[in-house]
Amino acid sequence: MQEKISKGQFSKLVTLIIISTVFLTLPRRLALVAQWDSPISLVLGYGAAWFLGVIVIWLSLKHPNDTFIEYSKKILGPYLGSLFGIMVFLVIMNLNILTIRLAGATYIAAGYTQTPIIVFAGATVLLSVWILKEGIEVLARVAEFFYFPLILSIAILPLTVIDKLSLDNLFPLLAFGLEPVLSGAMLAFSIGIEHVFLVGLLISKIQNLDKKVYHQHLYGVVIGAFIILLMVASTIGVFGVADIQRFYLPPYQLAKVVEIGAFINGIEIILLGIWTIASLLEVTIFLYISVHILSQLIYVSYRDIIVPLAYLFLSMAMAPMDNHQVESEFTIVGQFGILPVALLLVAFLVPAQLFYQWKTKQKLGGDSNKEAK
Amino acid sequence: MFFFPWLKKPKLKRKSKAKDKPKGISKQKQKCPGDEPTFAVSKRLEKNLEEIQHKLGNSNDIVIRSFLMGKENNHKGVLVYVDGLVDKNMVHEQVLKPLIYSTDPTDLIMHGFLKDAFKKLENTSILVADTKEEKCLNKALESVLEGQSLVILDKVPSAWILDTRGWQTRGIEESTENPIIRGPKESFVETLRLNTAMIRRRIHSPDLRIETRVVGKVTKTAVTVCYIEGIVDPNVVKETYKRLNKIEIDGILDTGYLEEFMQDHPFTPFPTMAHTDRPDKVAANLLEGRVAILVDGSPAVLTAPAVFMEFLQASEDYYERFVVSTLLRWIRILSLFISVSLPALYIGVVGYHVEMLPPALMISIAAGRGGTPFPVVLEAIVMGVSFEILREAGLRLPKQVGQAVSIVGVLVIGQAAVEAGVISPIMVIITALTAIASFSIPNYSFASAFIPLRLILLFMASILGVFGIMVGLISIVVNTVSLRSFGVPYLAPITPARFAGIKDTLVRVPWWLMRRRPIRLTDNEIRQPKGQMPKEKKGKPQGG
Repeated sequence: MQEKISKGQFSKLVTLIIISTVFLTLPRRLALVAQWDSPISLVLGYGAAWFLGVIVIWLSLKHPNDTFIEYSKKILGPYLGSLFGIMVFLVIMNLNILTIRLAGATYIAAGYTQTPIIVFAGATVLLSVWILKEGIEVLARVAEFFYFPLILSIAILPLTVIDKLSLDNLFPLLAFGLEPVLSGAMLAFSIGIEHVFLVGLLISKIQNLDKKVYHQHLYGVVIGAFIILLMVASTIGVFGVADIQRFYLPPYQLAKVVEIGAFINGIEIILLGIWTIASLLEVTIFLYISVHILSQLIYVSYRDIIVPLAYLFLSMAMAPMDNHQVESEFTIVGQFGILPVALLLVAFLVPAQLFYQWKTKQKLGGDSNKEAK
Repeated sequence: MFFFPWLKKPKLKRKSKAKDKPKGISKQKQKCPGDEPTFAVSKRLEKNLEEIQHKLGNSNDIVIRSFLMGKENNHKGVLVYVDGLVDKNMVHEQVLKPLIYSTDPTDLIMHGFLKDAFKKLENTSILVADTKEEKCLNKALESVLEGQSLVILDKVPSAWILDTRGWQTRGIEESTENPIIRGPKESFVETLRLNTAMIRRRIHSPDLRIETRVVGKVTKTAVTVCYIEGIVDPNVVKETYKRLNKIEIDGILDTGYLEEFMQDHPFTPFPTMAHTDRPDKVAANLLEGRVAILVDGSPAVLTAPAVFMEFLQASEDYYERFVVSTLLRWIRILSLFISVSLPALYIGVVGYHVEMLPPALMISIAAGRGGTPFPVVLEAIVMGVSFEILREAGLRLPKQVGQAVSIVGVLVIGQAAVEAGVISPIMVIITALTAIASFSIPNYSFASAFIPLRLILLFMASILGVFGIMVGLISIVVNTVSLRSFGVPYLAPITPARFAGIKDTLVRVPWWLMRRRPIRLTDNEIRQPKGQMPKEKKGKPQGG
């Protein structure tokens, strides 16, 4: 029996891949590029990412039983289609390695200096392998289970520091013209489009697939982007851009300054808990994407290659170099390497699909939908 | 012949077959189907008696009462029953007496109307309502062992089974497993028929199906499956029978046996089939589209499919006002979280994140712990295990002694340990709070599932702090999320999310708002029409 997920679960997975580890890391990275314009860049970048997602959904609805790797092979031909798949695989692999490393590095930064990083990274990968072995339905249910606790905990954090927020820290906007805004938007876009590949793989797994999937995708992106926006704005509002650029994980610092009454000082421990769930979900989703792409490229069952691939990613993530080096090495390949792939998607896949549609129409005597049926 | 041994083989075989056959039953053996060698009821009463004695041996409780009947007292008959399993008065007054004083059958038999002998007796003299004619002696004897009476007459080649069952049973008492303050108090007993009657008394629908199978090669225990046709998913019923029919065991003494054979995931600590001793709860489950399984001799009734949130619901939730019930459910969910993770959280915070504690609390914990010889982890494990020992001892001992053990354990040992400086006072508080929280979970089996998990979390927290706790909790979630009970996801309706289900899981909305059944077990999910919200009747103006 083929595994299926509901549209609601699809939407929640989209939100979670958008928030995942990004809520902790993006404020600093965005502040380095866009400074005070970070919120504007974020909205622009995620808006563009949503649009790309819409294109992928449009393509996927034309091939409701195929993943984007399968239909790209159909419409681009086997060689170009496979090449496209390999490129996506490499990008997601890099992102996954970075996330695995980050999953462990964050705990070490939070004070677990005596514990080797492999313990944290290894446990995260082990859990994600377990989830994936159980199948996409279980992954969707795990995501659905953690959805509200995760969203609420992250959304409440800015509210707890509202008294420390200074509106002056958020201004001036557009002080350096459009350049930082666009650079920031590019960064946000490159992070936002991670979800697009998940969308391309999941569409064929959705139960009762219809055009409502556009709405679910929109909800997913809007909720995810809103949570990130809240985090970016609140960290800038509390610390100011200069401080954020210095912090490794600004929201973690934000959690440290929380004071609820005179009793609770600092809720970073809660944030660490959220981080564990978020990083696990991201690693699992990336692993799912990688494993699926590879299984469709080399025609093997995806369950058979979960363990070897996870082991490979873990070994690469544990490369004996310092965290900053890992970040810079993999960020270049992973984060901005995703952009050419995305452009490829728009520049080649869309016209190719239109051509494919026209060709099929000619073949079937005017009804292009016959093929799908 | 030495060179062609196969020429002799068939001959030998035929000989041995003929030798093995017991005398006199060769023809009759073919008539009754079944696994065991069977024996059709003979026309000759002596032969039947011989076979009965051979089958049942010299058991003291088997009563074989011969009698003579007919006008001339010349027609022989025999009554067989198990002493203690029948209503003796009924047997004497309504079976034996009419048989002995009856004249009709002899006349009938004499006139050659053998076929109708029992029918005539049933219509004219025997006063037992439930009777059955049986051609196979083995089956007839099985009925005797179930508590029915068996009548065999000479020259009649069939046996007559009369339902004269009546044994001493425990009276219907208040539920010990899930006692409640408001609502029906009665609970199931060990008698199957009484239990099915308690369900039938609550659901007067002709669609209520009560079907019985026999499980257990030696015990031949009656196992009854109940469901409501039209509400239950036919696939669940099919699956129930499939699993039930697969069971091959010598004996079934309780529903616990069946549960282990029928559950979906044998290695998870969580129960994937629920059990209760409350008829009202079983009736409610049947109305939600579940299947109930009753076992003769057990007051615990299994229901399936079972979901996680079901174990946090008490019967009283549906009898009390919905606001109170909702609040109580939240308290139970909080209790569940406390009972699983409080000791681990304490270890995690004290061992790894002491900075997040307010200074005053930090000082009081440090002062309490000052001088205790054990590390905090060992202290927690010792206290946790001690508590489980005390609880087990309290449960197994007679009530009065059990209470004494609890008092000695909690007050004397606990206080002495703190005063001696072996255990810190805060650890006693943590252990007590955990214990009380675990008691508030309504289902004992479900609450017990968390005992090993609590210890695992404790261990994880001690080696990896918050990360260990999170890994442990995530593992629990992944495990529960991947479970299914008869095809239904275990965490339904939380995930896969279903709004109609949330109305009766995380909250308990008023009855008039629960239009649909909480978990999608069937296509027939509407249980009541819309618009039943009670409205205030506008009366006269105040003071008018």
